[in-house]
Amino acid sequence: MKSSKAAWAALFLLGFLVGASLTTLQTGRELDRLHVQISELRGELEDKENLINLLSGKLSSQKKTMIEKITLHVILPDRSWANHQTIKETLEQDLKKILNPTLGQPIEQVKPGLIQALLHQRILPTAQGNFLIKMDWLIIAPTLECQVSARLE
Amino acid sequence: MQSFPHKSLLIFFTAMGIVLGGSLIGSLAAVVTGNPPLLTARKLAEEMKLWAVVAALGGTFSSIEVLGSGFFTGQIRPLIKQLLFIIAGLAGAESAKYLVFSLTPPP
Repeated sequence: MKSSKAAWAALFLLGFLVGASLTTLQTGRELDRLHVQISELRGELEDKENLINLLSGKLSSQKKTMIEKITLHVILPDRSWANHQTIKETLEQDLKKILNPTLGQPIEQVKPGLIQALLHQRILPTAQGNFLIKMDWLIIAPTLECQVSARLE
Repeated sequence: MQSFPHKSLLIFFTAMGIVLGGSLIGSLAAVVTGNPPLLTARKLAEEMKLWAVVAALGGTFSSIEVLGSGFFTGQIRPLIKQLLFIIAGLAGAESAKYLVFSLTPPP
């Protein structure tokens, strides 16, 4: 009785192994094909990743420097007005509005002569009266910096 | 004592069974571990061939001993018998390898 059980168990195990082997033989070709495909796709993925890295490196090296910020220094005459600070801020805001189109533009494309033409000898109205702007200096860099002197007309 | 043809057949089928069983059942491990099963079966059949011959002969030591004694004492009959046993083993292993390779074609 006991040996019969063992024989059945052995038969079952043998059947399991034979069945598993036959199933592997039957489905093995598809599994092998998928493994080959996976390795091919991995290779392709690696190639594409290398290409992306190469292109992004090239892109960042070609990226142009842009004007990112405008800083203005307005010098008012040595005369104290009650609203001195307000006038200064108004003038700064007006001048920034004039220079705003340069934001985001490549540095090489920003012409100093054009900025001078835009600001120099320009008359800006404020609550205190009209101010004549005179450009002192200009730095064209990612932060465009400009100093102007304002004189009450 | 087994006759020469009986022993030759025993060696032939033993070597064949070792290669067939080893490679086919061994490839089940490849399914579990996520490797290509047919490729694994082919590799196993190739690698197990000589070991199957050795195992079927019942260990190399006695065969080499017989070969040595036959060679040095001038007894040609046992020498030829051992050589034929080895050839039978090789034939069994090679047939099994052929069967495995036929059953597991590359994709």
